[in-house]
Amino acid sequence: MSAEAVTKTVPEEMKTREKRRRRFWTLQRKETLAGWLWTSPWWLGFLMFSLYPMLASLYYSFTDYKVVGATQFVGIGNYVQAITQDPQFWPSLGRTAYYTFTMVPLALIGSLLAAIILNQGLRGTNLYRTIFFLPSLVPSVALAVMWTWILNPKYGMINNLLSMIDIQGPGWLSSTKWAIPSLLLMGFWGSFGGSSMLIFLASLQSVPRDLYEVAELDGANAWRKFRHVTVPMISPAIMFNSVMGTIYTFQSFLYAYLTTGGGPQWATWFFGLHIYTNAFEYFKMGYASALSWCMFIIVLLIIFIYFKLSGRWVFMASEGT
Amino acid sequence: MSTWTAQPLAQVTTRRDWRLRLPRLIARGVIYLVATAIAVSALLPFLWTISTSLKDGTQVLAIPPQWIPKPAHPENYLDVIRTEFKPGQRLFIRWFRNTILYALVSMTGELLGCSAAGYGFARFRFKGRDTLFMIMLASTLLPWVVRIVPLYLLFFRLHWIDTYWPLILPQWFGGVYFTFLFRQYFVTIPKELDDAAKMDGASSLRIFLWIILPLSKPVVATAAILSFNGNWNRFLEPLIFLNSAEKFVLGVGLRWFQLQGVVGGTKEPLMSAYALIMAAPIIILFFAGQRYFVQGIQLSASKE
Repeated sequence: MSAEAVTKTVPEEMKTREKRRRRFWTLQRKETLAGWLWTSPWWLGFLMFSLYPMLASLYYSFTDYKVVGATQFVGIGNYVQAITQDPQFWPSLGRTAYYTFTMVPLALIGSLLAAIILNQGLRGTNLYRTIFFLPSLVPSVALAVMWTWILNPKYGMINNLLSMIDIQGPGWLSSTKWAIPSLLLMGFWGSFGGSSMLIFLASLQSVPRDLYEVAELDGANAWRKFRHVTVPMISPAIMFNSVMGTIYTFQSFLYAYLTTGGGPQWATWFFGLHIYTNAFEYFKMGYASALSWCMFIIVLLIIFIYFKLSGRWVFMASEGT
Repeated sequence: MSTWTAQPLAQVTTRRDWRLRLPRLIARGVIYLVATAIAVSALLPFLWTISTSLKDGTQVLAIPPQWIPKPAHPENYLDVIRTEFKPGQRLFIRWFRNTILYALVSMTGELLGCSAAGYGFARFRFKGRDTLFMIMLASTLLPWVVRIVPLYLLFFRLHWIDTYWPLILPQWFGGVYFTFLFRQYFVTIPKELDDAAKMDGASSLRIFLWIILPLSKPVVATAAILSFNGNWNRFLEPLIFLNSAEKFVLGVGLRWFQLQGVVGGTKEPLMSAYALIMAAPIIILFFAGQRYFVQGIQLSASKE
C-alpha cells in the first residue's frame, strides 16, 4: 500500500522497472523462495550427505579405489568378482537373509504381543510399559557387553538358569550353530519393547470400539475379533514396522561385530560386516562400494515386494491423519 | 490413554453368572502371567549385569553364580573411572565429557535444522514442495552402507578424519525423522495466528521465532530427548571417524576396553559397571521425559 504511494511520485522509468520487478516477485514467487530457503537445511543435507555419496559410491563401485595409490577404472569387475569369486559373498547374504527373515517376524510378534498386553487395561500398565521399554534404551555396545557375559557358556546367566532345570545349555556365541540364534536373542531383547511396540500401541488404541461391539453381536470370539477386526485395522502399523524392521535388520551387523567379530568360523559374518571390513579394515573402497550397491539393490527389491504385497492386505481406512 | 476392558453389553449378562465369568477371569489371569513373564525377562539381564558389576575377579567365576555377591564391590564403579585405558591416562571422564558435548552439539544442530525445515514444509505453499516431501520420506529407506564409504573419502580429503566435524556437521542439516516430527506438529497450529502477525508486517523469521516455536514446546522437548538419546548411543560413525583415544566417545571406549587383553573373568565386573554407567544417563532421561519419548515415537509412525 505504501509502495503505491511512493511510485506515484517517482519518474516514469523507475515506475516501469518497479512494475516489472513486482511482476516477477509475485506473492507466489516470494512464498516459493521462502519455502525453499526454510527447507534448505533438509535438502542441502540431502544433497551433501545422501545424494552425493550415493552417486559417488556408484562411481567408486566401478573403480579399484583404495584411498592411497592410483585409481583405475575397472568397469563391472568388482561386481563380477563379488558374485563369482568372493567366497563370502553368497554365504554372508544367506546368513543375513536368515537373520533378517527370522528377526523381523519374531520382533513383530513380540512387540505386538507386548502392545496388546499393554492395551488390556491391566493394573500397573504404566509400570509394565516402562519395564518393557527399558531394554531398548541400552546403547548397543553396552548391550553387547552385557549379553556376552549373560551368554557365556560356563559362567553366564542363561546356562546357569538352564542347569537349574537340568538342561545343558549350548555354547551360544562360541558355537557355529548357536551364534546366530544368540544374536537373535540379543536383538529381540533389545528391540521388542522399543519403537515398534509403541507404534502398535498407538495403532491399537485408535481402533474404534464399536467395531468390537458389532463383532461381538455377531458372536465373534476373542480370536476372531483379533483376526477380523484388530489385524485389518492395525495393518498399516504392521506394514510400517515390517518395512522399517527389514531395512534396518538387513543392514545391521553391529551385534555380530561387537560379540563374535563374524565368527566362529564365519558363522555370523553378515553382509553388512563384509562391507564394513572391506571398506574400513582392508580399505578396498571401490570393492566395498560395489558390495554396498548390491545391498542397496536387494533392499530396494525387498521394499518393492513388500509394497506389491501390501495392496492385498493393508487396510487404509482413510487418507490423512 | 484409552483403555478398553469389557463390552458393556456382555457385562450385563455375565456379571451374575459366574459360570460365564470364570473363563474371563482365567483369561485375565493368563494375561497378567504373560505380562509378568515378559517383564521378568526384560529385567533379568539388568539384574545380572548389576550383580556382575559388584563382583570381584573370583566371585564372577563362581558356579553356581551368586546373584548377591558377598562381599559386594561397589568400588568397581570408581575403578572404571580410575582405570588407565592408556598408560598414564585415565580417559573415562574425558570420554564421558566428549560424549555429552557431542550429544549436546548434535542435538542443538538437529533441533535448529529440523525445526526450520519442518516450518518450511508446514507453512509455505511452494512449487515442488510435495515432491520434495515425498523424496524426504522415501530417503529414510536408503541404506546407510551406501553412503558411508564416499562420506569417509570426502572427510578424508578434507582432513577431517579424527576430528568431530564428520560427526557433527551432518547433524546440523535437518534429518528426516525430526523434520517430519516438527512438520506434523506445526501444521496443527492454527494458521490464523501467522496471518494476524503477517498483517502487522512480521517476517517469516519473526513468526517462526515468536509464534510457532513458543507454541511447540512439547515437540521441541520430544525431539530434544530423542536426539540426545540417538547421539549418545551412536557408535559406528565415531568408530569410523575417530582414531585417537583421547577423542573417543563412551561407546568406542567400551569397545576398546573390550578388546584389551583376554575376556573371560576378571575384566567382566569393570566392563559391566562401565556398560551400566553408560546406559544410566539415558535411562534417567527416559524417566524424566517418558511422556515425550512415547509421543514422539508414536507420532513418527503416522507417516505411512
